[in-house]
Amino acid sequence: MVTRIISNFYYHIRAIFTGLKYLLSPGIRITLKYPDELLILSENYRGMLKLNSELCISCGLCSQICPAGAISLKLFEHEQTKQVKKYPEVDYKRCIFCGFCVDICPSKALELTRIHDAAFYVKDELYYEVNRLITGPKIDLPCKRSKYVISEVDEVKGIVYRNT
Amino acid sequence: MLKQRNSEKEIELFIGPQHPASGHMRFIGRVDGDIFTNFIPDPGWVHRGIEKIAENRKWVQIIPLVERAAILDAANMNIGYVMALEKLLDIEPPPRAQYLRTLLCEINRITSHLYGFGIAGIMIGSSTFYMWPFADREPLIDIAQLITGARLTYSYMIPGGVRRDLPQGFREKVLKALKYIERRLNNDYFRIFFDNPVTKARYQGVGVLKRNDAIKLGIVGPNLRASNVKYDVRKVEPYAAYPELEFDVAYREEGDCYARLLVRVEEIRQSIKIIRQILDKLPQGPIIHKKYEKLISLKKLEECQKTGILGLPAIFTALRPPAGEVISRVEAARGELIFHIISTGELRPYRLRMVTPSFRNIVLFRELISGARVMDFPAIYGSIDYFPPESDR
Amino acid sequence: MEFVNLILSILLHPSIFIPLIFPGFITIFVVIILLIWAERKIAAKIQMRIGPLYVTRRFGGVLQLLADLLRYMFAEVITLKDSDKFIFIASPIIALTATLLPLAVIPAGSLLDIELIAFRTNISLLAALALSSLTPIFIIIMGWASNNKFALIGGLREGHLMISYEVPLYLSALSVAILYGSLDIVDVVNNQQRVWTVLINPFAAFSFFISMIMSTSRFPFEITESDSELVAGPYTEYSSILYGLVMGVPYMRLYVFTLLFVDLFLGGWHPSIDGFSSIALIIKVLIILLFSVFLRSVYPRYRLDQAIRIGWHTLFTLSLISITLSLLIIGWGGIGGY
Repeated sequence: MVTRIISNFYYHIRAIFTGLKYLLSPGIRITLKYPDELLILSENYRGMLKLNSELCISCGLCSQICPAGAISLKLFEHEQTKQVKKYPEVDYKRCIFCGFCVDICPSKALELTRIHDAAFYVKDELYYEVNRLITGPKIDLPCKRSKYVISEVDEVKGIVYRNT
Repeated sequence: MLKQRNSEKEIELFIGPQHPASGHMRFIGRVDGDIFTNFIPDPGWVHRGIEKIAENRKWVQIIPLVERAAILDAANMNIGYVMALEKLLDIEPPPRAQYLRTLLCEINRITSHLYGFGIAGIMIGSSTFYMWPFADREPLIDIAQLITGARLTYSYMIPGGVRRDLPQGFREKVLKALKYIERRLNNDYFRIFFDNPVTKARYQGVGVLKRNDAIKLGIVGPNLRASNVKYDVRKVEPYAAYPELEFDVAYREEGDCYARLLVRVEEIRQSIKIIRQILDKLPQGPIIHKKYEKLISLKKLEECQKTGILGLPAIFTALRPPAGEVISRVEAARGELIFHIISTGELRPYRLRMVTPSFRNIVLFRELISGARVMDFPAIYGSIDYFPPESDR
Repeated sequence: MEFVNLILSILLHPSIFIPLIFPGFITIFVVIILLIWAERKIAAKIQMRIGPLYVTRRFGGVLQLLADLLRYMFAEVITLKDSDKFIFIASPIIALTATLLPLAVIPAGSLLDIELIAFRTNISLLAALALSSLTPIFIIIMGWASNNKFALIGGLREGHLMISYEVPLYLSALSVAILYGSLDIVDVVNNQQRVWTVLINPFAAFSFFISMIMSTSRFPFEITESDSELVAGPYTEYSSILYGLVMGVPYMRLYVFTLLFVDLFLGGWHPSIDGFSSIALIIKVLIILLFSVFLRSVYPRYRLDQAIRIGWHTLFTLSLISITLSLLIIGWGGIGGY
């Protein structure tokens, strides 16, 4: 019984000292200070889509494989060459960013960008028609003092954000 | 004449979906003083009809759908479905693909157990032990993002193999992340939470599940292994790369809440051991079955050597597996996951049935909490590691 | 000029200066704003995150609580249809007043040559402890008046806890009074000039400290307002300015009890500088306050019956041991200088 009291007291003291160790040692913070720091994602991140209209062969496989039904093909006429072809359009209200369309495209016309912020002020802007899909998505800096950082796995601190 | 049956001294509590400790479900309990005399769980608030939606999707389109049943555990849901589909198609993925699948499954097991710790911590009031496991998931989720391209919604495994290969410099990053998690798990987690006398007072001797009851009720997962039953699907019916890897089954004898948490700690250690073995033994070779590799264009295969992204063959939009009925079993993080698929040779399945481990564990609420004190309810809830979306599908 | 002199003489009179300015009303507000900020920052540092930052960014978010209080003042006070309206609104206000009552008899050193004791009696220890036991009654009333089952359970938990920490608290204070032979706190402090009570009778200090943590809902005894089981215990149905008051009551209780703890056990305002002796008192009070809120990041919370068992098995035994120790020390010739 006495040993139980002493061992309980020892474990209490050890817990308090661990807390004090974390309190008094120099800080490890895992927070990403958004919007001061913006994260550049890794190279093969599955973000929003971009279309290369010269490589597209209008097969329609992207629309057939999309699990959420976000891609639809429509007829378009090129202004200068008067060529009529079908091109895909993406509805980001439905897209789940799975990347199946990019993987199945036989001529690699669709490609992934590293931008994932599909946030707009007007609801109709969520529907990317073909001209916007060819130029691709773009983001503005949220505030003037934003900087870009890259994340890195570290042995001591877990994850660290380094400036570029 | 009608006489009122409920006594005046029992309060009926609705611990509803709008409650800090209930998750997305409701509990109806009768309290007499400090004891629950009757406790009924009321699930169904997150039912999305996954099994019915799957009857209207093509076979490959179901892969992101079944992942979202329990998004914490996406790789294990994915591998269960793809294994069943491969049994219908009668193909086996190449060895390198098996190892890559196992790697992602084990990383997912660690992150899911860390999430379970976080929820257990906040339920008995320790906010430090809520923030620490969630922070420690970040290195692993970053690693998973390097392999698959997304943080949580992987959709990595396709029938015949996997979609992408490993990038450069991957091995060092994984070893660093594993060392970090091992150090935190063995030192700080024990000092501040598991060896804390307050935690032991809350968890030891609470919610005891005896061995015979566990077997009779059909409990699965770490809850079963904490009651002295050594049953793990990875050893009983090995799949993927598990026949060639060495690991132990974590189990304990007491059956109380403390034992369930310690079983999960031991499983994390075994997963770290498995990942290190995979990195050493990873064979070279193709990452998709030859039948489908022939259908991908040469230009894409050349790009795969450089970037690692393989792509899907076009046959997947019109995949028609032969008619039949298959069952596949997988050990997800919370227990045993069963997929039962009936196909009639069409573009879409006739019936997809998934039995998730949380659904089989829900009976523990009625058995363990009736007769326990009111303040034991969060402790038991946290230790069972119940995830409402996984149970409701 | 006459008028300004009159106002100043009223304000600087000890009976007004202490309950109103130091260590009373205004000091308590400043201390609470800094204390709650410190609690959140300490918890954030241990949990590897940042905590409040953006309100006054250059100072690390110090005035976060002021921003919160401003928001509370502009929100709508919702009173429930079926609750007892008068008691629902009146009980937080009375609880707050009752919490501040013991400050009238607790001494706080001297500042600018003013002896900081508002009302000097020779039973001030008994008066301070008795006045401090009014608050839990109003917390139970708050739980009943809310017409909510979770609030009722929370209020009853406070009642259960109240009967388990009161007895060790009183007995530990009694052992100090036996040791120094008087119930007047000023005498107790003046007798600690050379050696503090905590070194003579550590059992009494330990059991008083743990009872203090139990009575003011600090972790690991934060059972009344347990966040994750009952939504907020007896304080569930309060919104806007009443919520601000009700959340401040445990912190004010903590401050009053810390003053008492430092006066009884840690030597009060000794070692003292002539005329400014309160500075030593303030430093010791701040250290004890920061330690009490640091415990939030280390411990989970106890179950109710385990907390009651600790109150009666551990703390009651310790306080009886401390009384025996005091009697033995008196029997062996007392402490020199009394």
